[in-house]
Amino acid sequence: MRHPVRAQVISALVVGLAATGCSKNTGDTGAGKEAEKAQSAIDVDYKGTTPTPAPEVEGAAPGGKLTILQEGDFEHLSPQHIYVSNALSYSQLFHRQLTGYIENGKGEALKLVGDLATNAGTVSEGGKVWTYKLRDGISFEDGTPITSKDVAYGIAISFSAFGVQGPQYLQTALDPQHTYKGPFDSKGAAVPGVTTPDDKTIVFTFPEVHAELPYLVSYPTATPIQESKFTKEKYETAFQSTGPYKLASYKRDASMDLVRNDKWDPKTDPIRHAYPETIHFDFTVDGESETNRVIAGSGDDAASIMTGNVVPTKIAEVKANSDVLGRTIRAATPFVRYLNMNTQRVTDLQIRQALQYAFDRDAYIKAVGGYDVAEPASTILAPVVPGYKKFDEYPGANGGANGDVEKAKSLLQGKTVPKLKFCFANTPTNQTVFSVVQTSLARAGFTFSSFPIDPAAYYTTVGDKTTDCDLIASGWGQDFPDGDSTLGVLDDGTKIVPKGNNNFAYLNDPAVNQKIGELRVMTDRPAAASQYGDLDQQIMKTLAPSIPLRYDRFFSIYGPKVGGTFASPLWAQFNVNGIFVKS
Amino acid sequence: MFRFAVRRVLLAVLTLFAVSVATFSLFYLGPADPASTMCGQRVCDPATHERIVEALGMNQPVVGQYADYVRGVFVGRQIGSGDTAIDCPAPCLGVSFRTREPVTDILKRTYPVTLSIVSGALVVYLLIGVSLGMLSAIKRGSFLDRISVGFSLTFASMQIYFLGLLLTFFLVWQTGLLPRPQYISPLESVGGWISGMLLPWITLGLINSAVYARLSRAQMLETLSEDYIRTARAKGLPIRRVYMRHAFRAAVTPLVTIAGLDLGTQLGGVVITESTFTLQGTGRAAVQAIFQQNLPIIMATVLVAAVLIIAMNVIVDMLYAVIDPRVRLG
Repeated sequence: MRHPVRAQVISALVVGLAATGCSKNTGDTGAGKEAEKAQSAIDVDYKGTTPTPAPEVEGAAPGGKLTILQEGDFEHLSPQHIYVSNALSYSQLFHRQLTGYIENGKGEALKLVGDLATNAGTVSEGGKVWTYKLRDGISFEDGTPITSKDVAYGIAISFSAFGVQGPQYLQTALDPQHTYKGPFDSKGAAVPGVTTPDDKTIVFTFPEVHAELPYLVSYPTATPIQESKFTKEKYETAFQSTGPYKLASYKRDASMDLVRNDKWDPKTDPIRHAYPETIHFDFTVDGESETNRVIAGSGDDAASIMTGNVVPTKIAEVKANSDVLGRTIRAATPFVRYLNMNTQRVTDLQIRQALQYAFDRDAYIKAVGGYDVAEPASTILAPVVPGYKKFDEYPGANGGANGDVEKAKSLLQGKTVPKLKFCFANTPTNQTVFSVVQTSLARAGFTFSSFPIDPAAYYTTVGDKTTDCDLIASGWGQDFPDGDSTLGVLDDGTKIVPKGNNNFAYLNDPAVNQKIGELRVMTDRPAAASQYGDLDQQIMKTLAPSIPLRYDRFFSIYGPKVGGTFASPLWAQFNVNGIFVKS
Repeated sequence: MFRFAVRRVLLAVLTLFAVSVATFSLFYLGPADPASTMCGQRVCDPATHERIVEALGMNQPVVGQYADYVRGVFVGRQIGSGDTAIDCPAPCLGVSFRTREPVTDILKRTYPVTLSIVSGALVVYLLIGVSLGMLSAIKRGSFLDRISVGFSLTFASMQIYFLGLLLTFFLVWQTGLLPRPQYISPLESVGGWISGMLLPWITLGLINSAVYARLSRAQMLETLSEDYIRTARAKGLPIRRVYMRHAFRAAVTPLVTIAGLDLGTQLGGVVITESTFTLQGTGRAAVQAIFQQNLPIIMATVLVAAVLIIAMNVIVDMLYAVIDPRVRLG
């Protein structure tokens, strides 16, 4: 999942931080109380027992106008192109997929359920074949019933020029050789591995086991599209809705208005409600003005939510104002930052462990904006990843967050550590971070040379297996809520290739690789999830490949008339599936 | 006059050619890889990268891409091939790498915003600046003069992002005296357009008027010391007539040059003003395009800015002849 580009440009700290399993539901608990429970479990509804319609949200009533303030327009709303966190979140209002998530904001297990499909998928052939049956009564906004052929056509689109900017997991899984080019350039050819024996059934057949398929078809890659209504690039601003709202007007870069879609039947949907009468997106704000408007909460802004974090300059003001503080949501997000030790070069485990002990997290957190926007990290998995286990294998002295310099020094006794080459993307924030890290680790006697790299070329440079960087700064947020989307990406040595690596520690441990491989093919994902926390701890304890630096924090506010929302553990945005406007 | 116009147009075409070649070359000579920035993955896998490069048409030789671009400007072109091709009529400035939206549509959307900011601010800063400068010169050494000089110094030393944010904080968020800045098309609501633009106009107007006040004052003082002004006064012309017909007209000529060039530059995009007030004008679109490595939008905004600056230069030269009869074009 990507962050909005505009936000990346403006500030690394104001970026769409946000998802969380630790958040507050504003519908039933009243404003202002945090529920800091990490969501660390997942329930996958393979049996299709989730009730429809979705249970009513306490205190909710239909009506009113909800305003969503967002800096800049969506990059894409044509479903197969969607991959940025804000679009993934808010497109739920008008795009449906085969599966989807039910989040509750109370720290209870995340649920992956059938959305357009009756369940999260029926597996056969040990995970190589998946079958989905569509629900009765589902239709596009023009009243045309949705068929499995429309879903298959949407997936076909994802292979074309109109899907290249979306996630590529499903396409690669179906067609590893990349022979199929979509319904235009490969006209007449069927999508590899996708069959529709009847209008209600769609079957996926893979050359390998793909236990993660239920997650992949929750992306808008699997949003149905009517072939006769697909208008190519024009579909970005004139799409057919399948969800509870449809387009009323769309002015690029200015605003988008949604009204209820009367062809959406709540009895077919276990996830969404349609409480607000209308929803207005205002794209003409920036971080400062959206913060100011939601703080003021006057006029239409009383029923508004912001899509960015509170700007750092306003955090003190928010915390000092009890009314606004009561409308604040602070929570953990899926985003973690690391300082990876290139295990091809820093081969001595004790040196890596000494680096872990010497790191001063308190100084680091203060340098990147303070404890409101970041929390000291000690695990590779983010607290919202199903299976997350809280532990700290390298605690600070006396339980503090300043590291344990004496322990680090004792591990280094008798060793000569050469000057370490520290590589980072050259941004103002990272320059500050380098200086803090350097000072912090120098306490144990480490010395460094800095190697700032152009941000645009950073991951390409450090993703080259022959890199001579010793320490590599990086960040990660899971693409889907499963331990394999973190450990299977960052620590699987079997995936190391000459160029384009995500495993920046270049960890290649046979035992870890084997365990990751075993967990990856388990078709019972909740059972697999429960083992990722232990694997995380084992990696940190016995291999210490990366220093977890911080968990990013969600810190955002909503208007005084907003109810039924909380921070989404998935998309780093407010959850809007049960949002309502208080009268 | 005709020869002058022909010479200037030819020079303008050459300049535009040089600007477009330079922009194109700089983009490709630099570490540009728009396919990677558009790729869904952090580290783009080669197959996906190749698909994006193909979709963008960037797998063609650079010279061919440039030739296609120029041809499109004059006669239109088809972008892409097969069923995914986009018909782009002249003047085709390409389609956005990110959204495949025609760049001309993006300019049509963002340009009125920039034009609104610049035109309104121009009126404000010329009115305030020139009036203040003239009065200050006429009443040289008076209290009014000192106030005017103080005003100029204060606002000339301010930056838009400082004054703009300060005014927004106090006038919009603290006191609610002004509506928050936003662009509403004057075709939809003239009142909404004016009220939404008021703060940018005031901010840009105040800062620029300071410069114009100082310039006007200096020019007027210089003109007032000319012999012909003394002669005009000596022969008994009314003082108002001396100032307005003789002094003002001569003093305003250099101001027209600067105002014209300023206008040309600003019409290319007032990035800081647009960013300060979150207005989606051409300048802001250009900056976003640079971060996104969105070449067609970068090319279009650079070319449009160049056209405007060149056009304003020509207009200013021609206006000289109208304002100041001493200037003859040949």
